[in-house]
Amino acid sequence: MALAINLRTGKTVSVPDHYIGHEVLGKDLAPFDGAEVKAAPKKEKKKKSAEYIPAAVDADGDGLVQEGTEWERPVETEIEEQPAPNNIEENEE
Amino acid sequence: MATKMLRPNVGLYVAAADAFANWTAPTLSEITSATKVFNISPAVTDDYTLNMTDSDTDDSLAIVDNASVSTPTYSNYEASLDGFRDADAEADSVYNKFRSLFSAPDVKYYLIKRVGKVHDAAFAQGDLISIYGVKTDFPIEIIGDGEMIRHGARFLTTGEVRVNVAVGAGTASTGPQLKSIVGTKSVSNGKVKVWWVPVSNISGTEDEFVEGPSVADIEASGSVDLTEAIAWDSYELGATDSNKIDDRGILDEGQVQTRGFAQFSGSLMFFRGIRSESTGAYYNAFETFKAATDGSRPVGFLVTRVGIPASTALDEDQEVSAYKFIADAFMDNTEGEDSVKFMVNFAPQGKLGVNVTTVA
Repeated sequence: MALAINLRTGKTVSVPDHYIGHEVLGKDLAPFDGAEVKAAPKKEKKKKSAEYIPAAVDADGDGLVQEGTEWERPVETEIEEQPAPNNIEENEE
Repeated sequence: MATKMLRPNVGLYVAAADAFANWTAPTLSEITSATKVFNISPAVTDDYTLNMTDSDTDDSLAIVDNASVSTPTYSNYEASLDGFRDADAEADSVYNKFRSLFSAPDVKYYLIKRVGKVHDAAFAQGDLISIYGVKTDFPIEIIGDGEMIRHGARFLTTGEVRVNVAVGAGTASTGPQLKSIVGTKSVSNGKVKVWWVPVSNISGTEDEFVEGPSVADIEASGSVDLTEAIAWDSYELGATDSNKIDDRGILDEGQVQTRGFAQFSGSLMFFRGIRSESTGAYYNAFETFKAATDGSRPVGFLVTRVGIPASTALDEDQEVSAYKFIADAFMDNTEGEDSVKFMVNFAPQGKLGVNVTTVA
């Protein structure tokens, strides 16, 4: 018994071993290596409205502070705040 | 001297659910409606079933009874009609009318039987008719070696039954509608195709496939045209009667059935090719189903096309049926003087589409 993926439909199925590469039954089948499965990329969920906290605390001990925000950074690192553009034209230039 | 009534003094008719204002007392105007009542008699095979059966009974005894008591409670009846398939699916024939009336499940009709006149004799006030209320079940394709292709109309009872009711007064119209062309019978041989489509070959969802099987999926690499390899011997494939669930309300006086799970089954006998063959229909069928014990029983759809010459290429807008199966037991058949074969039993997997139209 082998795990195969149908290259035409993208469906994975368990098939008899002899199906793989079979001229009639297996032309569209390729061995399916589970290791090749990649998890879907996680969507970034950054809170754009978060405020910068200069003395943020690494509460969960993972070496990062303000995780999930645009201010995420390693502990004891500071980000120099940039002033927001005054108007659209200035930003486009 | 008493005179026996001989054949063919019987007619079978189908009335739409709204054909009668009061189905227990049909009038001449209603029974002769050309738009709501249809004469299907020429299409129905002689082994039809449309009759009352033994009523259910109650065996309550009174203290004075000195022997068994069996008192009828509600009426039972059964209906099952097989009709010939027309060789020309486009013909405006009785055969095609029969098929179109009973091609879909869950449609309510009144089946009407008149005994005593030939089927096309005009109805008259006082004619005795029997009326059986039904709802359609999934139809069955009936084929066999040397047999005509038949459309098996199957029914569930609605509890509405009256036998030998006199047609009431009214103004006669031109009905029941009877097509001027009876139809051309079509033999099964050479007009059946069967494909195996593994589930991995289904490009959309399985529900989409049973509603409209994709020609591309059926013909894709990995799908197998089994037709040439299948022997008539032991051929069994298709829908059977759905589970009939008794489902009466307190008003019902007759047997009322609700359609339970649809039922279908498959069992095919294949020719076995010689071992030196590594191509061809026999080889393909054997390769598809030979690994019945390695834990990877093939799962897929058996798709059938009936009534179209097998030499006709599969195309969109053709009528087919699709049944999801898992291939189960593999059994060699080496006995007798005929060729060596193997049989595969297929276990149903809960999805079917009967008489559905192919898509690209």
